[in-house]
Amino acid sequence: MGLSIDKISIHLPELILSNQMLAKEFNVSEKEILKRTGIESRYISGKNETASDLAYLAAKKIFDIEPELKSKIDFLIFCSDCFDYIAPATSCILQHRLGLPQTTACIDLPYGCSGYVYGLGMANGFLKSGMAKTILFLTCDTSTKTLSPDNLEQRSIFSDVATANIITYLGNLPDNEFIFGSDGSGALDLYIENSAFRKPIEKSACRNEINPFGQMVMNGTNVFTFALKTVPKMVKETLDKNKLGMEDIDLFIFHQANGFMLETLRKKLNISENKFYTNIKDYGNTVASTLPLALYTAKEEKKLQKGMKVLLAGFGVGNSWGATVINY
Amino acid sequence: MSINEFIQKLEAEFEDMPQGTLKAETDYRSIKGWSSMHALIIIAFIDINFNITLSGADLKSTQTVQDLYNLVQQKKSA
Repeated sequence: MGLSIDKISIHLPELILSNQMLAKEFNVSEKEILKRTGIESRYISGKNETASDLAYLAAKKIFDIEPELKSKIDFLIFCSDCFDYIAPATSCILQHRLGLPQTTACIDLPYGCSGYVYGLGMANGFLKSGMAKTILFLTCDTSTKTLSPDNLEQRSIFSDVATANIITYLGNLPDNEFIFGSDGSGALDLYIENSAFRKPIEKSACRNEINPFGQMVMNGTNVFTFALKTVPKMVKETLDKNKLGMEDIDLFIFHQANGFMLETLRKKLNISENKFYTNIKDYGNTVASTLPLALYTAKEEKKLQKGMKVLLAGFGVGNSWGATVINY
Repeated sequence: MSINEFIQKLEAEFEDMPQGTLKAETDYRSIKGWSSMHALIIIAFIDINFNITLSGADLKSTQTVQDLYNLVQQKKSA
């Protein structure tokens, strides 16, 4: 029995931030921004648009086509670092807004870059145990709301996109084995400063009118070395646990952190370009949404087809990591 | 890998850098247009070529290209 990602839909905010716009604002060349990030455009949520608004719209696209699917949903997972409130769980709000049955179990998963794999791991447990049969798994971050306006490095990377996934369990698929890990010693290499209880708001210099939700702090060098140290080991362990070799994987999809990091990891792992899918150029780093967004666009581009074995690897904020192999 | 080969390969990683720019005694942070991106390029170059992942602190402890080369040799033999 294995996980089946039956459907994926996405929602893109209207506003696109191009390299041309950033180059003009920061007086740098478009070529330089592309060289540093591998990104040409990113999506920016509206001022009053929350992650749950975008996730709602992504889910609505599935239910508009198949309204009868609503009654089958028995679990809703909302993975985000940008919830509507500290309490209640935003997934409860989404249950009502989407018109899902009151028998739906709702949980928020406060995770970023590795969140999709953690969510799949949870879904796997719920489905395997029989606790759930049809899971709606939503991902969305509005991290651009936490970026300092004068921080080119961060503004050229991060992007806001939502995805909705319908996950079920199929008898004819092999089991999915997962690898997870965390190293909290690097937790403050990438975090949202002054975003909750740790530091009182009135003493905060960065929780202001421009960044009312807190401000992102990122040590790019440390995040980069964390990825170089962690990802190759995680990939090997994931293959071993699934009793597979590199040659058995049809497509490798890694968290779309930035273009340079992805290319360095690809070279380090010696993965051929045609087996290494990226879409960061057109969407930027959408945090918890990068993996399902990549599955969606890879399918659109016909690079992902039924029956393929896909290695999904998430890593980042935490520092946390997680990987698995799915049979698409 | 000799220091000369190290320099040639590192130069090739920095796009737009004319050949012969780097010398063993070059303070690499003083090269024209130096940015945090160059630090990542150095880390990636050493990782892929020597299978050694330098930390930000490792990099901070070096100043010249020779220092970088020496650090790699030291970590290789550790």
